[in-house]
Amino acid sequence: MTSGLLIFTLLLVGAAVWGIALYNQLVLLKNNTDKAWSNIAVLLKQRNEELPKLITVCKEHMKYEKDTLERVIEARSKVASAMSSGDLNALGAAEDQLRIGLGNLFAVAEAYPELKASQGFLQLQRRITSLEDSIADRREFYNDAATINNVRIDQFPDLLIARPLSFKPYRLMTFSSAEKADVDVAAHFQS
Amino acid sequence: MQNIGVFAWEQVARNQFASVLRRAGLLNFAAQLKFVPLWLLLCYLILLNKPIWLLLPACFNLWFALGFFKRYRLMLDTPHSFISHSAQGYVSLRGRALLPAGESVRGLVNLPVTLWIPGYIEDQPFVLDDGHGRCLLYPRQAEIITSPADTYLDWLHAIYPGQELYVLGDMRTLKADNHQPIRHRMAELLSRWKLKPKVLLEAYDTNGNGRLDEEEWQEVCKTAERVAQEDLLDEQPAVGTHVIEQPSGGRLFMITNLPPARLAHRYRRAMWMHSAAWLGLMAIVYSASL
Repeated sequence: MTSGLLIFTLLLVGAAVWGIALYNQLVLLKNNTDKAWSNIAVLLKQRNEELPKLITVCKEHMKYEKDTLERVIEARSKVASAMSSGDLNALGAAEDQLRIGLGNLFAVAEAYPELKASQGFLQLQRRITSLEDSIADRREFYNDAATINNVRIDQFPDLLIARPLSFKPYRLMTFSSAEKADVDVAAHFQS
Repeated sequence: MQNIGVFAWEQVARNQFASVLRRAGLLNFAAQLKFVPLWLLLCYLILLNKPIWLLLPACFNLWFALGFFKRYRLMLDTPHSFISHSAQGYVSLRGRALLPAGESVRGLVNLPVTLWIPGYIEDQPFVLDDGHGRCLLYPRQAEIITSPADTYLDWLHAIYPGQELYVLGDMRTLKADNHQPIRHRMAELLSRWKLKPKVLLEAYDTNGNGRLDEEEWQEVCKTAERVAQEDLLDEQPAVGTHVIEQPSGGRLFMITNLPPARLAHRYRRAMWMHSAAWLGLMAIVYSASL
């Protein structure tokens, strides 16, 4: 009788400890994903702080490119508001807009030799391009972390804990169609 | 390089088992197949004497199974990162182990160069190179699981330069403080320049009256501001030193020279084995009590 009770207790303890272990793992995944997101957020913030400096440098030389500069400024403020609201869809769209705007700005800058020769502009261009690369790298890391979390909370037996305790899936940072499209090499050679 | 005498070889060999067990933990010993006969023998001896005491090894089986489950899931669920991404936080990395820059030899005399050898060189940092970047690994509190390399020293558990490693740990990037306000930088520059009045006069005394007038001094300040601004911009893109350390909150810090797929398979197998042993031992105790 005593051994039966002991065994029953041990079974209960075992089941409880497995449940706690599963819960802790889900919390760890959630924290990993949050941390991966903050890795991106810190870079987005740094880039947004650099952009006004770039705009100021460009304004001094590019008197006739008001539209290009305004598009970058507009996209920058959209990124900032999407970040503060935590809306990943809006952030993705604003990021695409900003990337296109920056691409245009750097392309237009080629026509201004004084600007191209400016040390400040070159340093800012390098800095922003390097931040863009890092954001792309960390977006991949964030998407991995979010996917792992999303799969785990839908899997059995994890969903027995995830559903009642309201573990939420994370949205992925999606690539824009322009980034996923095949490169049209021929177009680059057209005059 | 530590020198060991001829007779100390026996000591190195003797130390190996205890040191490997200490650094990898009892759990990693229990994950190996050679643990099974020892465990079965222990359980058999208990069964012959007092079967109720089998509940004690059953508790150990449960603890082992949970430990393996944790490790297996961590290996599967921790996103893989590249060092160059410098993603801060808990990550898994794969790369080659290397000696830190400026160090060409490490280990025991008469042994090949070793970065880490249990019982002798355990706390010194070494470099991990994943082909995209490098980071410093501080193995002090890490759970280190090694298998002997394919050399004539096939009993020696160690980490050699060039070996592929798998690491689970907390990545941090140490950066110099580049947020010093521009005014502080300017003030520092100006006080340094003031120490060389001749150079200042040569460069900025445009009217040649032997002193710096108000306008000339303004010009010096403008130059200082420009130089400070340039210094700041130069420092910003500087890549910091990446470091892998013990994570906070009791999370696992693991370094292994085993292929991760093999280690994960080992943990998974051990988890099922020990879970089965936990239930099996309880069934034996129950049937013995009837």
